[in-house]
Amino acid sequence: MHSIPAARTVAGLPGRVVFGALVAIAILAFVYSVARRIRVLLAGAPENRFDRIPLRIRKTIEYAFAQKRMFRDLYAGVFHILIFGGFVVLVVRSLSLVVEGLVPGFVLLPGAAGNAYTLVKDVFEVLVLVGVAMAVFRRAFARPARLDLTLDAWFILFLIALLMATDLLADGARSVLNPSAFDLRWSPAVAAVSRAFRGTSPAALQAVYEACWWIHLADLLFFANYLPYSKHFHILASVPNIFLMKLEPMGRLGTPDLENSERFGVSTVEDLSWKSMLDGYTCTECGRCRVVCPTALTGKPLDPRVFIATLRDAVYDATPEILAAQSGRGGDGPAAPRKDLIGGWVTEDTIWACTTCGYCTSACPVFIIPAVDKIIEMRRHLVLEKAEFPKEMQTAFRGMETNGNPWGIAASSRADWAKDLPVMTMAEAEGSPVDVLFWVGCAGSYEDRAKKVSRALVDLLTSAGVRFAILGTEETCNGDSARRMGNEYLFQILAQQNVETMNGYGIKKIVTNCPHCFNVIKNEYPPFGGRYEVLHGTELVSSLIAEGRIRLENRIDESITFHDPCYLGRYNDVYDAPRQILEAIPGLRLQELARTKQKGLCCGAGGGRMWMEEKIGARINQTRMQEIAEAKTDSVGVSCPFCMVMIGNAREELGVETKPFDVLELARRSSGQGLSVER
Amino acid sequence: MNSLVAIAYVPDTESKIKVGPDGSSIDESDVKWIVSPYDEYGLEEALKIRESKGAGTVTVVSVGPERVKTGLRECLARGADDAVWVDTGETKNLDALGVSKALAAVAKAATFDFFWFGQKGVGPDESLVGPMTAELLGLPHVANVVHLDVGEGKVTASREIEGAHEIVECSLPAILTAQKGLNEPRYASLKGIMGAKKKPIAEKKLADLDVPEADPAAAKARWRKLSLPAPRQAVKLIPADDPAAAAKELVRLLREEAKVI
Repeated sequence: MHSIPAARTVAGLPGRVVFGALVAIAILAFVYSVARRIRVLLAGAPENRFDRIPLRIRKTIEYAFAQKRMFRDLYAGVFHILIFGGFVVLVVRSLSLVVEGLVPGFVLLPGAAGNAYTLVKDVFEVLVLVGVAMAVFRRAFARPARLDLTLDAWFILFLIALLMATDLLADGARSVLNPSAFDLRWSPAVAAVSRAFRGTSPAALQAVYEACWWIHLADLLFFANYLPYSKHFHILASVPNIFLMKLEPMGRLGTPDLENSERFGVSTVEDLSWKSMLDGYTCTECGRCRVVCPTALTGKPLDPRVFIATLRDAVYDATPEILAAQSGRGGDGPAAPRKDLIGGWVTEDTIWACTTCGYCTSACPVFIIPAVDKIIEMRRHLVLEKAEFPKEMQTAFRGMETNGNPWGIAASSRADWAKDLPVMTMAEAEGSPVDVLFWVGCAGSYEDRAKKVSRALVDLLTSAGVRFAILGTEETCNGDSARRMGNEYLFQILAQQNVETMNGYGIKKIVTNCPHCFNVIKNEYPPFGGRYEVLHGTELVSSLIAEGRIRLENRIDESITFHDPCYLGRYNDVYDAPRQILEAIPGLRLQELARTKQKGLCCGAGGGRMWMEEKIGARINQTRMQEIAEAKTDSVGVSCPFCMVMIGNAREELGVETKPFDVLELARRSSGQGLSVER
Repeated sequence: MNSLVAIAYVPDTESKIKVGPDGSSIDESDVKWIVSPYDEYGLEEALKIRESKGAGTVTVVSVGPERVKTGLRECLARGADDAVWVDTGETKNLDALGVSKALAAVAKAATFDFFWFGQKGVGPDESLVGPMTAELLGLPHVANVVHLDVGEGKVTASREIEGAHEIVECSLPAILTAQKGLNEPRYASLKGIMGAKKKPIAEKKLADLDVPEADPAAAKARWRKLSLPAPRQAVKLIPADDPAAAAKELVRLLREEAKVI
């Protein structure tokens, strides 16, 4: 009978005592490290992420255990789930080995259950090695651009492989030394190692066994203690981070109570919510968030993968001070001044660069929000507390304040676009019921091209017999740009005003051509008491086509591609409606862009960037236009007035042939029912 | 150093102006009101002087109906310390001299180093109130200031004149009118907006000040009739196939239609 190495004497001391001491130190150190990390979270700003528990459990199963988002990159998804599966299975094995080392004669599971677990464990140890090999191949040879090839990553792969290898070698050696203790039918991998060891001297086998046993357990104890100080804290933080995900619509930012606050937005580590900090802990720097990031792709200082890691580093840097403050200790005299979060860790250029396109948010497999919501919080600080922002933004703010539109055109001219059209205002329609309110939006009311799209929708709805009305001069900017430029105060004023107006008319259903209006009214007005069924113009028109109320009969013999607006696609999952319209037009041939739908590249106008100058790096609209030009289609369909401006400008700047059309302009042209649009 | 800043609350420059039914006033129904943009430069400069000296107060003053209080609140939100509202009550279209007399009355009760005005209000656009107030107070005044250096008891101002800049030295207290280019007016922080709600606005009645012009019959200037400029004509393109004919046509149009040559 070969007892386990811990039963022997180590350096003159009883093995179990030495091992027990190691385990105790490792556990204490681990608890200490993790407790520090958790105590810092407690210092963060509050955020309720413990509501709707059954839904959270469902999401956790779907995204943490089934890893749904990981398989968007199939290769990485496969090796990751092999390693993850191994981790789940082998945690039991590892703990049982520890207990075995401490308690003589401990057996995890007797009989059939034990055999079954042994088999599963055996298979997974091999699968984990396969997974690690795939990961090594990727890092060494495939080298996807999104990865930063850090030493940390190599080290953790080594530790994982070492865990597997030492366990297999230890059992293999032991099974030769003591065949009666092993039923190798249940351990095919160990059996293979065992066969390889045949003929090795018992002394050598004993040495292999003992060395591997100690290395395995030392690796395990070290591994646990390494995690909290590495990007691989991911291993511990991911499942909780997914459970604690934002359940509100992606397009809804937090609504702070401005009347009863002293501080606005985020300017210090302590202003970050605990969940924002946990996001930092969770990031393992896979870089998926940067793949279609418009700022990272065009050489701007915002790279979401770097941004979230920077926030994490800032949290780690502030940890000693936060903990000292928490325990009431002042530390040793005045603490050294900390690097400012804004201006120090994160530059203002980084904060203003974001287009809030949401690609990073939608790409993260573990539901970190790498940038958008956090950047808006920082913008809130800059605008509301410091009134420091790129000066051209002031024109847009003032326009929205005084005239209810960022262009600052007279509020009284808002309905001028419809002067010669048979369009009623809600005030005029009083008494006669309407099916739907057409929310025109600032662009649709004032911007020349977008006005044509407004007129196209009017034609289509009129020809389909839809009874609709507009708010006319009672409509004011929805506030999207104000909110995403950090001017939460202005946003809330506009939101309250619009909700009051619409609730006053008892509005139930709204259609709008602007994805920004669409997102805000649909997702951000409910907290202000505005609950409506909101449709994008393409949704309503495509359903009218499907019902046969709009007939698309005129041929448009052209090829076309489609540029997805961020706030329609990624934010609200409307990918099909505009495509259904394009496909319903006789003769029109739709060809998808290389980067499309969830991976569609932003035009550069979101997040209030429409109103800011773009001074750093390549221009986002030109970058996108080049991708569009590569499709070599006659035209490009858009469904957002801001995309239209950006794409239209890029077309002129680059001298590209591809003509941009709003999907509704094409629908109106094909329906031939025009009342109002100049041919 | 203390500053007074006169604030005109005027129709937004983008508002579509309509003539009222009496033919001599504007129809205010669709008008959005703003702090006159040139006055904003004056306020900004006053705030900057206070900040650079680390002491002093900035007081904003406006003469007008109840609505001008909204403009004064905006100025308080941007950082002015206090505000004075001269309530014009029933008086409409107070003329420039009347406004100047009201402002001079407020100024006489205050100690100040600077009294700032915009180089013009963008309401009636007369460019009169600053210089008139200076005369009434017997103070030096510099108009159209685009740059200012503050010294001990005096200032050196760069003022815009046609085609050139004139550098003027002036003793304090003085009246200055601000021109575009002097600075970039700041935006109010939310803290400023919240704080402004708590700052008091001192109220004076025009009737209590010595302003005879408050009675329209005594006013030196009256609004008799307002009319809108003719709508802008569409651009005429002259085909340039034959340069000589095009030039001839251009001259004909300038002479016969535009009547400018």
